[in-house]
Amino acid sequence: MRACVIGNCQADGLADWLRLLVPGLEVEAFAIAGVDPQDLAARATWRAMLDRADLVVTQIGPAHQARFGIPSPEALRVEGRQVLPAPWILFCGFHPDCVFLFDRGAIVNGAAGAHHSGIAAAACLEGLPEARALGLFNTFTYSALGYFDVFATAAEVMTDQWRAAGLDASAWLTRPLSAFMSTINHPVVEMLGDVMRQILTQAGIDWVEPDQAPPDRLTSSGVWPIYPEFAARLGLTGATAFVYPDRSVSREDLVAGTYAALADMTARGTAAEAGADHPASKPVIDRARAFIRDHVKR
Amino acid sequence: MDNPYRQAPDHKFWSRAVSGRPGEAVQPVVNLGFSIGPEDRIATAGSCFAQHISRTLQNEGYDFLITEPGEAARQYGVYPARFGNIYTPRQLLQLFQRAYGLFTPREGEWMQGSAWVDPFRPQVEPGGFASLEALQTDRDFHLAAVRTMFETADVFIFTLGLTEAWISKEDGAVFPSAPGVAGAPAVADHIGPHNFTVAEVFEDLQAFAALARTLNPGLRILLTVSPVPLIATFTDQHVLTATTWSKAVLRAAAGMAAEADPLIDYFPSYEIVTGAHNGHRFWADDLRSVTPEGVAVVMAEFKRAYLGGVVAAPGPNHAAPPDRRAEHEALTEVICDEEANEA
Repeated sequence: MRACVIGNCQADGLADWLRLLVPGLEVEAFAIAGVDPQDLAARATWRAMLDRADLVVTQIGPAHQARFGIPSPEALRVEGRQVLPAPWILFCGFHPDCVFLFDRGAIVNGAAGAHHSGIAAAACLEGLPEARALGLFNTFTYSALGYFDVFATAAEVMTDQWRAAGLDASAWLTRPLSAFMSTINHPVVEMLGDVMRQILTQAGIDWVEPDQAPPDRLTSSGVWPIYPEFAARLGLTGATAFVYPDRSVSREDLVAGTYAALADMTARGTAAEAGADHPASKPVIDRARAFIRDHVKR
Repeated sequence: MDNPYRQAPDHKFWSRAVSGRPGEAVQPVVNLGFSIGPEDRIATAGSCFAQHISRTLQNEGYDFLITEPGEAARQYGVYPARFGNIYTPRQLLQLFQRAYGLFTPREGEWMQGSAWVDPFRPQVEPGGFASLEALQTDRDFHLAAVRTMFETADVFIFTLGLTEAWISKEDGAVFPSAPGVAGAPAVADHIGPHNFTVAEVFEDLQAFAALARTLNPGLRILLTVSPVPLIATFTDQHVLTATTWSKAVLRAAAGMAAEADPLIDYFPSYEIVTGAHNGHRFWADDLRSVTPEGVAVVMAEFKRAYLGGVVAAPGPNHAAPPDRRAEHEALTEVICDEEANEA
């Protein structure tokens, strides 16, 4: 029997678990992260994977189905395949300050790759010196920006998204909490295992608990810190540095990276709309800019 | 038409509430907005009269917040953090703003002889700081303690002391004392006197309350006005009329703030000491210092009114968080594409 896991950057991790939980099952994975939707070779690759699969685990929702030309679950079932939906795991509750910046549609990297601080980006765009930006990472700023309220909303959304796939997220959202996200879209490997176990159980597919978890592939992309003020409220350990397996990026370096990136964009005349290509980042940046205009004395 | 005063309680009539009554029997606190219980964490700040409130709370066993502990000789423990006296609401507002990075005054340090002085608390360190680094390190530690105070207090008691202050013309920074009193900058031309108006004091109190409540939605604020007269005025007035002016402004603004906000109360320290019912017996020989007996009477009324009753703290005045669910849901279809661009 052969399976295909198709999804976002979490697809490889889900496939790792599927191999371990169902020994003997041949598992392939295709992640659309990093793939040009118009790349015909890529399309041929995942189409071949799907053609070989008896079982398909998919995270792909309608928007990406259309953009990448991926068949819907219904269409795959018509083709005779067993299709098991998996949730597209996202959770901003630990990292409400994380935003993405764009320059004419292209993502802008800083000291921690694509991840930037909304507070730092707003401070730069409002003309504050870096030192002043660093001084804004505190409980008052987070309160005024509504950051402390994000966890509850994110928990609601995650609960609903998991429920839509027939899964129960409550164990992750009940105290004592664990830091179950490395970034807003990178769950820890244990969460991917929970997802795959729930999917298999729901489908009536027997599975066995492996001796050990697969490696956490997504951690290599970095772990965004849970700021100490949030961690204290959540019963977790806080940090200020963005951590890669081989290095860490301090808050000072992160802010400096954002300032440098926006300085380049300013020189090109594109900084003003830095977050505009991202429907979730732009409101975070706009609110932080308004906060600075309203509260920060120049 | 009925006489609108006919059914009014006794405390509204001078003849029944003041005339002919012994001073101690005049109890001017009525209609409390809140009370203070043993489990409440209480922070204090203000002019020197505020220190009496601090001591009473500590002596009575209430949970008086100390977020910056240290030896008493270096002014630790006088207030929750080592900020020294805060004479004006603008100074209080700026303490909050400095603690949270909302205001970074250009004035960072003053000198007194060879010692370094923090212009915003020039007398907390006996003899000043030995180096600029020591000053800055201590200030960082201090402002962290100030943040903890604002974030953990249930009740904040502020004693308004003065309207006259010294302000930087460059950025509006307010200093508790004039340059030259306890240290000075190399050039002090940019620092001048300012006498706050009722409107300014009221706006500063409101601004402080708004900032503090953003952080700590249920914070109860108790305002009181120090009865202690000005030691000197920089105005052209006589010190007596300057004092009356200053106290009238503070009293009016504190009353306006309390009227406007259900979580702000006014406590009449000023009236208890200066009121005719006490026959001016609470003044020391200099007619400026309040005698221990006067302080005791003020604090007795404070305890009777606020510390003795059943605690009935209002609930947090916290607005429901805005509905940002759509933003969260919007993440779903886009994040991985952007991650992709990073690769």
